[in-house]
Amino acid sequence: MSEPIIELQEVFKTFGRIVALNGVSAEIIQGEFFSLLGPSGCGKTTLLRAIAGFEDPDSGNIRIDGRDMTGVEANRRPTNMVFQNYAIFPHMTVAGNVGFGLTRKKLGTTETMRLIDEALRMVSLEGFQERDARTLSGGQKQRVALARALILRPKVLLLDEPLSALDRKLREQMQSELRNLQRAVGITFVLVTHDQEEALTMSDRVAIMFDGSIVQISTPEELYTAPANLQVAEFIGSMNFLRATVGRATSQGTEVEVEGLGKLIMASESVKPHSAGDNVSAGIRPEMLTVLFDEEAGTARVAEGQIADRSYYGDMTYYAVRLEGTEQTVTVSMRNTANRPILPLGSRVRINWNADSIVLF
Amino acid sequence: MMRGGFRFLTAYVAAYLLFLYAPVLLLPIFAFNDSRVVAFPLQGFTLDWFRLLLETEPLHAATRNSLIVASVAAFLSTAMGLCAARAATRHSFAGKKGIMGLIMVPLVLPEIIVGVSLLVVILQAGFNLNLWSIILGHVLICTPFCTVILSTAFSNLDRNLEEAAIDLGETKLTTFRRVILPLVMPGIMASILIAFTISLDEFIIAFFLSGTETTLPVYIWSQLRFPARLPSVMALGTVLLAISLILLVSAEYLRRRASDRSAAANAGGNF
Amino acid sequence: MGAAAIVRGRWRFRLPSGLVLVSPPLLYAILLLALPIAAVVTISFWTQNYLDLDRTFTLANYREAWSQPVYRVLMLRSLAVSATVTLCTVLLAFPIAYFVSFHVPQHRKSLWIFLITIPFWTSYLMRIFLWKVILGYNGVINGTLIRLGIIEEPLSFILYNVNAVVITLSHAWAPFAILPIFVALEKIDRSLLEAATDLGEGTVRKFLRITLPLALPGVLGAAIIVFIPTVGDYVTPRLVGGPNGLLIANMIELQFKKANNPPLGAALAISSMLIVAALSLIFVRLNRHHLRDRS
Ligand SMILES: Nc1ncnc2c1ncn2[C@@H]1O[C@H](COP(=O)(O)OP(=O)(O)OP(=O)(O)O)[C@@H](O)[C@H]1O
Ligand SMILES: [Mg+2]
Repeated sequence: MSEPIIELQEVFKTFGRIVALNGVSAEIIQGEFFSLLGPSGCGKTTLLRAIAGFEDPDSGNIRIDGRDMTGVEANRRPTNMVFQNYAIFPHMTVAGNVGFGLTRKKLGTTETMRLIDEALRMVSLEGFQERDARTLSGGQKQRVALARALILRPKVLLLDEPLSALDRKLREQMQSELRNLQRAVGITFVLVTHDQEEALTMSDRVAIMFDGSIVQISTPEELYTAPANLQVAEFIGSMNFLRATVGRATSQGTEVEVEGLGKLIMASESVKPHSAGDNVSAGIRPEMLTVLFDEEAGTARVAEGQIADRSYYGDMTYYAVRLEGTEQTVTVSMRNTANRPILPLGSRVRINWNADSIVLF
Repeated sequence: MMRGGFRFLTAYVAAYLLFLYAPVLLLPIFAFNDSRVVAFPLQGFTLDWFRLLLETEPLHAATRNSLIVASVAAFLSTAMGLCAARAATRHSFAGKKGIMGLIMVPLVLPEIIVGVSLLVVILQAGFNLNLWSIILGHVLICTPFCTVILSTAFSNLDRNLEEAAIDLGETKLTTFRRVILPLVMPGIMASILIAFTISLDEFIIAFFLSGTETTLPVYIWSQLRFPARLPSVMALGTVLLAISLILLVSAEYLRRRASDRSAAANAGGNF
Repeated sequence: MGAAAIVRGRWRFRLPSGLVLVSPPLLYAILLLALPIAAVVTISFWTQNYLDLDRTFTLANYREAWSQPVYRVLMLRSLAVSATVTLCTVLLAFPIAYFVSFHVPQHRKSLWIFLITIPFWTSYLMRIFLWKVILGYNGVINGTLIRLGIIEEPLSFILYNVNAVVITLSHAWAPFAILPIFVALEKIDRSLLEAATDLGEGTVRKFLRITLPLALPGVLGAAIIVFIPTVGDYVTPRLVGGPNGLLIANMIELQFKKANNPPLGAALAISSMLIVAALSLIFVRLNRHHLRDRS
């Protein structure tokens, strides 16, 4: 299969008493768009800077393109970086910034100019060569930073929250541009972000970090539908958690008693590693629960409840439903369609769920 | 109550400014006054005292010496300040506080102590007193000022810019030349100008450490004893004031440009 | 990046680069500041025999420095003058710093600070000399007062005595007092004052309960910055102090130059430095105590 371009083996890094990286191991594959996602302070920037060569790990190994990077200075690594605040050199023109790394290569003026033109075209900044870098807007600076790094054809491009300084509109535009750019140049991108939407929409694979450790690496879909643990499930999107007890295994599957939802049969595969008698948490996403309107036929999997709270979002409505037979409430999200009323508080409702979308922790 | 208090404060400020400016205002007045005594009433306008300056040979020698001392001291203390400021703003090392403290000590040390102690070692070591001994003393007292100015310049400099240069393949040295130096250059110029001005005006240390060759303030000191020389001393003072002001205004201008630059560099995102 | 890193199983030693970088100014300060001061301390224990130094250890210089009335008088006068100058300078400077910080619009502040420092870029000697012209028997002040008919005889108590030294030094050190106080006032969060108004405090009580305590560190800094160097000044007393306005620094200068007795001069210099350092420390301690009590 595809070759790993970056291999991280048990990378540790401490700052005094703070453990910033607590034994990080991962492989990043040649040509993929890889995101590091995690809450603030979990060590994302530190990991990125360790790959770039700005932090020496206390122990562990970083290999890039098969080469051990220990002792290799940042300026000798086949990586380039886009900084969070872009770090555009304010005393140079756009061309000066973009061509900054080329000067060492002694290419001659015409070749340098050609490469700069090409790089600027790539980020849609044709004709900006002589602009004073200080006069650029945030989005333009971002493009210059990208062009400046990509012009050197790195094996890996590292991006530390490159979109967080942009306003929402521009951010969404840059997300798709960045994605397209990555596909076009075929360079491995490693993106640090604390915005899960960004990670999910842009990446081929996402690594979730907590407290200096990577807890899950998978595709965005897998991350959302099959979070590795409770922490990941809580971090990505929103999820309802209900108390549940594992029952006996039958030929159809394993019985699980979920408070408020009753007894259900789940595929034995998805109950692992829990066994009969275990008290567990059953997680289900709000959009996997449905409010049944009168005309819709009831099915076998129905629970009764009462609407305790409601938030209207225009395209969606979120209901907090108190289930019968338990103190727990669940959040149900409903798309607002033409013939669907917004239910008032206190309404009695029946809700339906899909057992395949329940995850046990 | 508040209005009255404010009016009182304004009057006080005016009086205080008069107190501050009194000597400076008198200086040019007496420099152009056509009288051999420096006192009121004024006797009319003359340029004689300035003309006399042009003819006084020892004054020219002292001026030359002062310019040499001030230039060398400004250059050396700025180089020292660069090292100290860079280390203070970008590095952590054992004993940093104590080391920086020692470098800054001359700020709060009576100048006579600096003068006396340097005099003792220079004489004990068997060296002669000359312009170099004055330069040594001046570098010592200018370095703290340079360090303060340059620390501001360095701390306004975005650290990511340096890392970006390294990331793009530059070494530490070429990063310094291509990125750091151009960005802190206004700070360096300000530091040179301030050190130059301080050295040009310094008397106490220069008096202790000068041998046969003296600097301008030491020369002025020797002239203050002769009443007849006073009007031309006033003229000299006026010239010096004008030079200092020009230097300071340019230093201030450069300092502002420096902070504008780094501010623009730090603004990062939204315009 | 640590001081040392393991590279392929062996230690690669790296000096902390900060230490390397700071070494030129550090070595300079050690060689030309710490060492010379140590040398001054050393010779203060020696004796001058005409042209040679007798290097046997003796406390005679200190005995002389501390027992001879002339040195004691000069030392006490120096301290008294420095303390008075400090008090006057800081008291006079505070309203100015307050005015610039609270009543000058933001964009004009640096201009004002610049205006305040301009007079101090005239030659230091010249400034002192001009005070002599202002304060003298036929000087500006006496001339004006006589012409206005306020006095008939010129005032004589304003030149060639300690008063003249205090006035001149208060002028010379004004910016060194204004700047630290200004910086401290600038740091005060203006919303604290608004909060106090909101809680019903009047202008005066607001000043006493919030502005002044918060500005105190700046005031202390100003006091130290003015106090220490004034003890070392020997030019001002020489020019405007008259025979009874001479201070300890003049004596130190005399011993090192004309009297050619560096050991005694060194003992006087070290003694006064120690006294000044001790007084400053006590002053800072006392006030820190006071500051801590408040918080
Ligand atoms: N140079 C440093 N010195 C001391 N501690 C540091 C340093 N750099 C990072 N840390 C600490 O290491 C931990 C991880 O920091 P890091 O910057 O990698 O977090 P992050 O995941 O990038 O957070 P954010 O999303 O807020 O940027 C934090 O606790 C941080 O305080
Ligand atoms: Mg970060």
